[in-house]
Amino acid sequence: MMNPNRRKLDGKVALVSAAGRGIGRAIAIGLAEAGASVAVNSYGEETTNNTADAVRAAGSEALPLAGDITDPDTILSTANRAREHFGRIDILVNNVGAGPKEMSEAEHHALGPVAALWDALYDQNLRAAVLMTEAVVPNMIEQGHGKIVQVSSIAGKTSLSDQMLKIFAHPAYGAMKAALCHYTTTLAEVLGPRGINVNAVCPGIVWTDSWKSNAENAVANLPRFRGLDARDWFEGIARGDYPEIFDRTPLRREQTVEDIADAVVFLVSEAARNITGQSLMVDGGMVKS
Amino acid sequence: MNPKILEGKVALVTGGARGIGAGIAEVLARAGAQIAIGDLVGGKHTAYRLADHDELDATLARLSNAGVEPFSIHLDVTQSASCNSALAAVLDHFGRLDILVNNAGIVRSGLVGDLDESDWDQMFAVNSKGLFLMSRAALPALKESQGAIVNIASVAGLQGHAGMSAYCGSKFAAIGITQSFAQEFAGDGIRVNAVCPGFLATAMWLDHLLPASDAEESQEERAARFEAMMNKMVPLGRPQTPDDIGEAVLQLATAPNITGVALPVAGGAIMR
Ligand SMILES: NC(=O)c1ccc[n+]([C@@H]2O[C@H](COP(=O)([O-])OP(=O)(O)OC[C@H]3O[C@@H](n4cnc5c(N)ncnc54)[C@H](O)[C@@H]3O)[C@@H](O)[C@H]2O)c1
Repeated sequence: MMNPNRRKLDGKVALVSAAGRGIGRAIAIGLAEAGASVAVNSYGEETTNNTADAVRAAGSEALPLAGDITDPDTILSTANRAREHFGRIDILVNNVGAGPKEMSEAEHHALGPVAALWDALYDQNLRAAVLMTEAVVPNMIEQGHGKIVQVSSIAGKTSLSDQMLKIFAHPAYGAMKAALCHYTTTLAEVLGPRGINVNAVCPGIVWTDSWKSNAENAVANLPRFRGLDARDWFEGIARGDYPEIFDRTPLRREQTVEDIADAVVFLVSEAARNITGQSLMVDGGMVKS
Repeated sequence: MNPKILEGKVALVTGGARGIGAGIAEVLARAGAQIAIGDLVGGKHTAYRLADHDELDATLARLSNAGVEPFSIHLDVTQSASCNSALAAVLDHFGRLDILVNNAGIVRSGLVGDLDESDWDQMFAVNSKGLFLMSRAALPALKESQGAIVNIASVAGLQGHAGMSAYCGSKFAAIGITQSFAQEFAGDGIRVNAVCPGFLATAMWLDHLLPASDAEESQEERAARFEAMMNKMVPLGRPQTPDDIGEAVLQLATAPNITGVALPVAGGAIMR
């Protein structure tokens, strides 16, 4: 019957991408607190090592694997090194994703800049997660079990206000996150019979470096917010101060990185062994779709 | 998650005498909650037998083994007076209510031409209106505790099926009610979510939905036939269990920033 330890991850091996800061870091720590060993990927050495230290502080083994996880060679070598070190990967969390960081050179035609932007968002938000999944899945199939979580976004579940799309979240970002949710369902269908659960979480608006810089940008450049403190301005989102930009958050509080980590730890645990193909919103009720 | 995350909290599970509700109660009890079970024990339904005293006693005994002293109340979720007095009894006994699980439900399949109007009404009375009556009764106590409601809807609340119009309609309603309550109660600090079970070997399936077989069949043989059917229908290749549903209830009841969701626990039989 019921095992009281269905939420524990003792003896499991997890790989978390883009885990140097913010949500990814919290997920790595959450998995470690539940007992899993964690292969930690982040772009830079320092952030990777910091999260690895936090994993160890939570009492678990950590393997730091720094590198650009949108690069196919790095994706393969990261998966391989994690598997060589731990012997297998039980849990994959694709947390990689962002707004446009560095755009590839625009082609010299009228649509060049648009094409470059969409390509960049595709590389970061969809392609990287798909390739990592493809790199890990064959062994999961071989071992007959596995848990995969894609970190999507509320932007992948609904349209956003015109202002939000103009200032903070390019339509291409939402399109890629929506594709990630859809990939979650098709992958769940294909991998279900192989004993592998595939789900997504859709965070709301979380105070990470990227929202910090969005907030700084807002108070620096939007005339009606000029001069406000960035953090104060950010708190106004959950309070419902800017209804023309952000949908109301019914619970009136910001979501935290721990909220997202909690949802991920649940979804990869045996407590959720019969949940697959779902995209779980963690957004205080903001998105009503 | 702290394994005793519900220490000091009180949960009321409607329809908890057996089946899914009993499983939910057990998971919440193991997480440290005090448990009240409200059920229409010995109640009448045209399609199959509802919970009886033996089933209730077995559930109460299992809860005692899990280390709580369960409190059991007679409850008919279709009657507002019954909901109100059940709530009063819980508050009288435990002094508070933190989690309301609206799990009581009934099913009856039937093509539109074969469905009695009274069956239609009864399904909506339990599966839809029951959420209103019970939640309304619990609202003041949940405001005080900053608590949570979890409604047990169904995958039938996300997709229609031939021969299931009344049940699916009542479960779609349950999800609409969940979303509306989530928005309405959020300002009071109360979160409202739904879990959508897929297919479980409870009375609903074993005593009613599972097609009859030609030959005489023991209860075990029926259960095996149900299992075999689910192995083919469900991507993960197995039915769900009451404790799967209980774990999802526990997760949603304790997640501070999740409200208004309808989470399928269905082995991938529905995806959204
Ligand atoms: N079994 C499944 O596959 C399945 C799938 C999806 C959803 N569900 C839902 O899960 C819930 C529990 O169902 P179950 O499968 O455990 O069936 P069940 O028949 O074993 O349990 C239902 C319980 O509700 C009680 N009840 C019925 N009418 C009531 C009333 N008016 N007031 C109070 N209690 C009442 C019954 O006595 C019984 O104990 C229901 O809401 C059902 O619709 C079940």
